[in-house]
Amino acid sequence: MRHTQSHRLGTNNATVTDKQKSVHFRFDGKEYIGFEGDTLASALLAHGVHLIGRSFKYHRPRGIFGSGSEEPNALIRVIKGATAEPNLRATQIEIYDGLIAESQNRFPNLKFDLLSVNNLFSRFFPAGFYYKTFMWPSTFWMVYEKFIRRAAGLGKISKRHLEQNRYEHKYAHCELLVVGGGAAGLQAAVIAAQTGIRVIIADEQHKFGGWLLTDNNFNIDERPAINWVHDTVKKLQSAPNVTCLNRTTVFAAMDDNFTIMAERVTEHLANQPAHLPKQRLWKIRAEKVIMATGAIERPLVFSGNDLPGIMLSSAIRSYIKRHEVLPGTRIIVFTNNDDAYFTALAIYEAGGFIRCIIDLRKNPKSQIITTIRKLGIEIKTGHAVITAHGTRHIASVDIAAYDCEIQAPISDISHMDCNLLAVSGGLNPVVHLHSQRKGKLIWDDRTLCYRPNNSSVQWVSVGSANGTFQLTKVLNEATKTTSIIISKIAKHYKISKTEETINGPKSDDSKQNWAPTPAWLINSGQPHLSEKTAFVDFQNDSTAADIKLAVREGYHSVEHLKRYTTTGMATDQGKTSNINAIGILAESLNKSVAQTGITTFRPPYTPTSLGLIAGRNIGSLFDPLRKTRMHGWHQSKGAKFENVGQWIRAWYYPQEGEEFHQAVNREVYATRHYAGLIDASTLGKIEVKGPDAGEFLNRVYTNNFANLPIGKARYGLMLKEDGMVFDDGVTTRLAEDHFFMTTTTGGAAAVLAWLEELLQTEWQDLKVYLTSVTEQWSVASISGPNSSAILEACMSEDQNITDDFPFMTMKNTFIAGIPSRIFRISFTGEMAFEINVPARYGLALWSHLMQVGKEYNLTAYGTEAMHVLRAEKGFIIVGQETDGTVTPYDLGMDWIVSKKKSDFIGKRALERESMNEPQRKQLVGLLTTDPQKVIPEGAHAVLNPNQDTPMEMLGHVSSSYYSPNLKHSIAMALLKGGFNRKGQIVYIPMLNGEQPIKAKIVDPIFFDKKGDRLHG
Amino acid sequence: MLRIKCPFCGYRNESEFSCGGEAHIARPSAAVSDKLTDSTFSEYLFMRENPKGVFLERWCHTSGCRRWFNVARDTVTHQIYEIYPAGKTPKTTIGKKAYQVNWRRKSKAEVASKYLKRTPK
Amino acid sequence: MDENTPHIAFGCAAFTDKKLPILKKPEFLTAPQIELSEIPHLGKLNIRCDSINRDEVSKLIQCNLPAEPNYMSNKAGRFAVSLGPDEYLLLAEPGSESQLEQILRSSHLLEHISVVNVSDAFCAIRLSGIKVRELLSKGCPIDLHPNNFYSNRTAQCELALANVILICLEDNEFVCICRTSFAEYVLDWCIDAGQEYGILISKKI
Repeated sequence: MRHTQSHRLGTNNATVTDKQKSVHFRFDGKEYIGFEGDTLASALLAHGVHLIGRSFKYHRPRGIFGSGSEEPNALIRVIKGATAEPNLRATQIEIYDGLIAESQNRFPNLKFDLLSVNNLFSRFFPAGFYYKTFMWPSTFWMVYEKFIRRAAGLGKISKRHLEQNRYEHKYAHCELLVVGGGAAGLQAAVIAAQTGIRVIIADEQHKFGGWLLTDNNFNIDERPAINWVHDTVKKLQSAPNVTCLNRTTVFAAMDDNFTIMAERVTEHLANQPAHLPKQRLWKIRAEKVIMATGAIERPLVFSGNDLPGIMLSSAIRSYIKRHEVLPGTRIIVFTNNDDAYFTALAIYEAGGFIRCIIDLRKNPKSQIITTIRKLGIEIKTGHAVITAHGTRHIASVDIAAYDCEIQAPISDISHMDCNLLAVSGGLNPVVHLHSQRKGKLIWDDRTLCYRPNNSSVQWVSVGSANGTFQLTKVLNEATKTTSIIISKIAKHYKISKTEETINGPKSDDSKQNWAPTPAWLINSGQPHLSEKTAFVDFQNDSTAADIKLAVREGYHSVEHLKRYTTTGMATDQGKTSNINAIGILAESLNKSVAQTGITTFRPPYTPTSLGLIAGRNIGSLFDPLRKTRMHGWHQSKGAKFENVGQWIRAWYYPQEGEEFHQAVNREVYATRHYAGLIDASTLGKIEVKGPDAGEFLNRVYTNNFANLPIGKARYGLMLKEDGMVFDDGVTTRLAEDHFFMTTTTGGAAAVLAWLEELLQTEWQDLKVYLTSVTEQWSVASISGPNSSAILEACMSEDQNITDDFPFMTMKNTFIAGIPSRIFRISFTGEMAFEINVPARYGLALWSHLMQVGKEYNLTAYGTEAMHVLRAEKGFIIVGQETDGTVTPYDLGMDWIVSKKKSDFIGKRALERESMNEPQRKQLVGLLTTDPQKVIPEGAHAVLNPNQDTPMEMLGHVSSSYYSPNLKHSIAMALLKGGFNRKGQIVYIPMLNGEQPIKAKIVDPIFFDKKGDRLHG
Repeated sequence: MLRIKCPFCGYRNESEFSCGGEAHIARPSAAVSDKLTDSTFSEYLFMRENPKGVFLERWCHTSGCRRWFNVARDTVTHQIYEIYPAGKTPKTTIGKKAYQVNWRRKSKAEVASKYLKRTPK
Repeated sequence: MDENTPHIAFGCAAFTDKKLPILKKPEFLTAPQIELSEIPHLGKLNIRCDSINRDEVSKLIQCNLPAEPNYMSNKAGRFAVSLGPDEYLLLAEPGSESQLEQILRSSHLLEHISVVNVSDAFCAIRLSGIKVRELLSKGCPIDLHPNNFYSNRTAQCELALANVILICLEDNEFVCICRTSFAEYVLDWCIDAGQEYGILISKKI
């Protein structure tokens, strides 16, 4: 069934909608027809559809209220293929052929909502309800939460959203960013564009023009305003130095004019081209920013003010002018200012029937009021709408004479029926971006609004965003302010002096006498009843009663009030509610609004999808995966991988049918009995060069390096200034002034940064240069009794490895013809060689070694086997046995801390009394009573497993494996006073209810204690 | 996000830099630190100024040239008043004032290291 | 090296593994607007020296080390990029790096300078085409406007989640140098970001 567009006007003057082009769409399962240029809101209103959702807390019926991003009620879910996007504002969704939209927050359907029983029990949901109810017992939150989430949800997201929606990022730079493409923004941009500077102008709507698209009966420079808009936009679009972005919301203004905006690139299209993103996130660094963000009308607060059919006066005017939709037939206008009279005029001109205009002011006088009077429209001055009535739509209002001074009705109530009520409570400049930049706001008592103080040199607000509402003044202000700001960018940017560039164009806007009267809350005479249905924040369902309750309970600061009542904290960021809430608070406290203050606005200005913030940093582009040159080989052999920082390393190489432990045990066994090969390319490598290199290393390592002979290697431990272990590795002296340092895989970048920091800031007198060569060299480390034989088989005949290659030395030689640096060092306790070759030969070297090694039972092993092998020997891994609170003494490595050196990083800190406390956690070995039982890493050890919880903990297990060579489970642990506990029994309680594991404290070297195997 | 002028690379986004905390904390030489009590040494090690207002701090252009430099920055407004080389003292009036008011420069560690100069190599 | 010498890899593994060439473009484009290829085995030397030794080093390597930061100088196929007040990256013809390293290491300057062969540590990617600045602006926060980043300008900066050295050769021609282990990421990122412009990845140098 297709509904007729009963509320569409017959004229053809719409500024936005093109009536020549029909568009078919579905809303809540029903098919509708609109026109190109319609928003979902205007198209639905054309069909007389107001009701569009249920409210958050009380499930009250709510209708379309505004016409732009300020909309608090009409939150919509748009379905596209298998995905859906929730919480979009119907007032901003452009309809396209095939659009499928759904209302949210209703169950089972919109007209009959089961949860609206909450409405009957509204006394259960007062301000601070959540805080009060869920304070105790805290475990009950789990129960409440499910109910709350279900009852109060704001839409659902599809799990497959990111698969089908592409979001991109883009950086941009400009001298001037103009936010907002209304009268002020366009004028600012056109002035700036003449100078040749880079200008970006962004507007939230799909057409530039702002309120000129609505107030199009004015002339600018003696031509219709709309023509001025077209000409100006054309001028800007043809300028090579100007970027015009429509459908683009600036949602965050950050330090130094780093400005973030969301461009809706293709989401308004029926067929989105695959090569373009749905949305684009612009990250702009602008020299200067002009905020021409306009103003938003605020509603009036009275009982029943949230009924569908009650709309912002300016929104009704917009629907008439932009879309030729008049959303009611019997209309009442309720106002405290002149602007609503322009709406009345628009309704009249569209042929609508205005029952009357109710003006809170006693004796308002202006040109527009005279005009309206002459048209014969009834104006009740000094009156107020006390209550609105209706079930799912407004049906009638109660009206009374009203005194704003004493804030009370002063006559009997009369009744008047209607089906559309336009409300206008004054204009709020959109100061969000100014406030995000920590700009201060000034309360203006005459125009009743907060406006920016404009004290920054980096950005400035102009036009109605600055509290300037009269069009000629707006154009004049935009012109002058832009000239000033441009002169501050650079002196050579000159603006030619013409009337147009000095004063800006003139308009015949007659909105001279703006002055609204303050009326924050309409008192019905029975406030205790009416205030509970006088809504301030529609989206979060907070009422005037909530604010007054909060005040009674002592929440007097706006910041407290906001959080306690949640007013202004919904997805609309209180665009229509904040100032009314502050006004009611001020009145309750008998303070002025200026004294009461305002909360700080924070990004984002409008809800922004998380997908947009993530951009393309998802899936395989989420984080760079760094692979070694041998990766292809590992992959072809079916290796399983593990991530070590950004590196991806071979973890183990399962053969057919092998489980994890079987593979690791095989690799460990083979390495001890024959030979094993591991890809160690990821180790950090740094060239340390310069006459002071030896002295420098002496200062950064705990042991002595200045006396290291050329060609010799030494293991070193690096501390931070607090005496805690930072990194370790082997460093080799290549020449008198030249060392080759290795670091842990994970620590490589941090070590280089730390050493650079010391050289650049602490020891500027040392002549040392550092260069990272981590990726210059590919490293294959071969271990085991057969390693020397394999190496010899790869070398020319005149080289003899075992005879002239002592432990802890280095050789420059050729392996299989590849120039190599070979280090005879060992992390497995076996005879081992670390072969470094220029990375381009990495894969070749590896393949060659594996091929030659075949007859020697050479086995490739991964990081897991490496861990087991080193744990059997009691070698620590920095980051596993250490966590930034472990000293070399705690590790039992006193031998590596020089007693002779006068200074090294961490020396004095190690000498602190507390560092030598005998009860510090110390590294020990653990042997389980059951040799097959492997303790989980990270488990805690206790002396008595039968004590009450919380148990007194002795320390934790840092490494734990099954050792196939010992046929026994082995572990390392950091235990309080561990060195003196050797031989004691500890227990490791299990989380899963199993019996505690029993283990004996032993020395952490489990295998080959004398180290004989190193020498083959 | 701040825009910071790296003395070498020019204006760059804050995300390219890392902040190294308070500047001008003198590392006591071996000769000095041996004479310091544990608590005085711990003051050097752990205590940092945290002013509301102009602060002298160290920054490194991590994602760029990897050079360290000093910055006089207002911790409230984020305004940067001066950028000067590591190992040098500030030259602007605001920077000089911030240098002087910091009580930590008069800490025992500082005083001690001033009188007992580092042993020359 | 004899004939038993195992074969060396063609440049950076990231490029070899991708089964080049790759062409991705939207249907409406007849030709790709961006071309991308690796410059394999380019000689790369990291040179550290103070400004007082700059001229002498320049003479030895027959290419001026740029005195101005963020600039590159080039002479006879050699490019010297400034990386810091005392740090430079010399890009030289493939195979020349060992010889240049020897020349510097055996000079009387040795005590004052550092020279390290980093040819295999970095991957050089050539990017060209009319949309190349647009492509880079999707991940690079610096101002790439031709008035600001023109021929012989260089920058060490972020490109999405990788750190790169960006060099402008000509108006629409850039070289992006990254650590080899980041090359695959940079390549994948470029293919993804370039889809709207049409991107051709080739072995062509």
